[in-house]
Amino acid sequence: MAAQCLLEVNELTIEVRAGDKVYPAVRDLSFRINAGEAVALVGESGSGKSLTAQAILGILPKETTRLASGNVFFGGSRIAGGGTQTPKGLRGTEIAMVFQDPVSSLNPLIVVGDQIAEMFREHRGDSRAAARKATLELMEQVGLPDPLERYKQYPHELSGGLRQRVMIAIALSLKPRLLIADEPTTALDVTIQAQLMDLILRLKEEYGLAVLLITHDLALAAEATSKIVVMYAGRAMEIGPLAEVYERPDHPYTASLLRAVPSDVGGSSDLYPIPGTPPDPAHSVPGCPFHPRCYMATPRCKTSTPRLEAVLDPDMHAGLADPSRYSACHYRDAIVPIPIVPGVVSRD
Amino acid sequence: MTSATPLLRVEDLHVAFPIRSSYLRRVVGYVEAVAGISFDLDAGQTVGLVGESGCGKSTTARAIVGLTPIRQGHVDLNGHTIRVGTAGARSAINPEIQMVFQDPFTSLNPRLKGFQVISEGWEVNKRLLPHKEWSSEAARLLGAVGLPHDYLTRYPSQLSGGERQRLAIARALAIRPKLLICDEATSALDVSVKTQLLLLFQRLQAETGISYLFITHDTDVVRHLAQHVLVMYLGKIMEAGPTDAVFRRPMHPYTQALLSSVPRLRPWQRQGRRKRIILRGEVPSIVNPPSGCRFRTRCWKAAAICASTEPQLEPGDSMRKIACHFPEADHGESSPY
Repeated sequence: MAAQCLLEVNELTIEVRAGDKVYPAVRDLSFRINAGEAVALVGESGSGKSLTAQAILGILPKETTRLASGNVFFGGSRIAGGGTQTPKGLRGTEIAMVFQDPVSSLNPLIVVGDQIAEMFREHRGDSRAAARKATLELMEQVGLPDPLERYKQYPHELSGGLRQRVMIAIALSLKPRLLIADEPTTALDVTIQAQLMDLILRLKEEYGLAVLLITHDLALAAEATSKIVVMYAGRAMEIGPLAEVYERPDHPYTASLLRAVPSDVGGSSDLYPIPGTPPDPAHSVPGCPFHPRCYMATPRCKTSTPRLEAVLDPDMHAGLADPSRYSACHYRDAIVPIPIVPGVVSRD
Repeated sequence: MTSATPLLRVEDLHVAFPIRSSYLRRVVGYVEAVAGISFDLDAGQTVGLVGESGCGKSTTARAIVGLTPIRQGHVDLNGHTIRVGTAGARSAINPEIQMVFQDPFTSLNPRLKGFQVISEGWEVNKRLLPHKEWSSEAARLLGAVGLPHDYLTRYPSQLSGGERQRLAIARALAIRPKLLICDEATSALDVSVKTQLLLLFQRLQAETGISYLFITHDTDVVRHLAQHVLVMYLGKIMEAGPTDAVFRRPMHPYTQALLSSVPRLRPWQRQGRRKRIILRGEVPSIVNPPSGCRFRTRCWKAAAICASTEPQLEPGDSMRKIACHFPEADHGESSPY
């Protein structure tokens, strides 16, 4: 399975300016997405996951953010880094995006059909009639009922779920190779979320599309992707095949985060929050950013920042690294389970 | 929910908003946001009210608190009717019922420090607490919600989202309410912080015997906190009963679909397997709800009777009630939804 690397983010650092303070909100972030692969970029608020998406797309707000160092490669060539941002020409054609809030992404004064058709006219030079025909076909494909009727409607006449389908139609109109979906279903109800994720995954298969799903929802990531990048305070804490990471995390943060999900599947209804508060990106702590909340922290963690490195494969002979698992923990090869602290009040 | 006098009894609650003509602003009709729901909440217990946006769950909460007038039915607290459906104006706010809202950024006055936020209620209800006890009680409340004492002198802007929500809870508890209504109180928070708050709610109930009504779209919250659950759709209750029974074996097609839509953390584990139901279409407009059963336009079981006759909430097994002509246990033997 010699998968072809489609996107490579290499040592990416993004600086944010707030007032007269400049701080790195994303630090030395590296990960890859293969062609046709679905990858989840997971983290809590302030972890830097949305900034990463903006940097890949070349839409970092110029006034407040700066791609300070690192590179982004797409299909083998550098598209961002060394003082340049991803060129506009790639957006929509090769790399497409779907955001959380379709209301602000659509023009309220233009009927949705024309907004989709514009992609064909602008980028493919289609005639009015050809663009309209392609639009109606695409609307059908993304599950917009009665395309002829919907074509003439304005964004405000559609529900949130249908607006997001319009955004997906626009995103996929030019058959891009990578779809970046930033919290695409967070504002929607769960039954609509299920419909849309079903659609995105179906289109992924049909188009051979690679997907970067940015989300705070570990369960959504599990249903939709096969590889995960766990971010905390602007850094990648752990990278690996999703199911393997969920079954045997190689970083205490991943272990804590998975344990904090109030899910009942394990049969236990106990709750295990992560102590402390999520990090404030403007105030970085020395050493490992997770050490103030970590159950494994030692004095070393307070002074020395661990790098993201390959984890030794427990099934292999000593000394062999697992080429798919990476962790940024000093104790990556000896992660212990979270100590279970009783004190949880029973529901009855 | 069988004791003689429940703490809260909601009986045939209807809440309607007028539709006005565009020019003369005359009332030309009503939208029934809540179309006749009834339930009891016993002291020391928690009821979860789940449903998707527009189902009327927040309107129900606002009607109970007295923020919105009710059209028909009544709300009793400790056996005394506190709100009745009349054409009259909204009734007085009852200090025994307090509310915590979703957004901790807009529900706290940015100009008030922690102490002022908490003591506001004592300002209004002078008899509640002698003035000399204010500072010690405020400090105690901060401790109870897990905030350090020096937060008494901080402004909300200096707090994180989770800390603000703790402060909002301390403010609500300051009045010593019997019932706390939480409207999506944990929905805006990161998972690690959300879980902290769920634990806090559990602990406060164990310590004080307070009752909760949790309004949420988050079924995980209900699973962990509520003994009883009400599932709402377009202003009506579709299924109600003990949380364990309803979540383990939902019998109303809507409950089945809702629970099966929630992503699973480890979908590859057999233990969590359940059939995935993806509903067709979207929630119909509440202005013009479907005839008969309100869920029938998205239901895979819908038959002629569903369009002609509205199913009533009828008792099913495990102390639950279901409003469906074709209720059914899920086929998976004990599949945990």
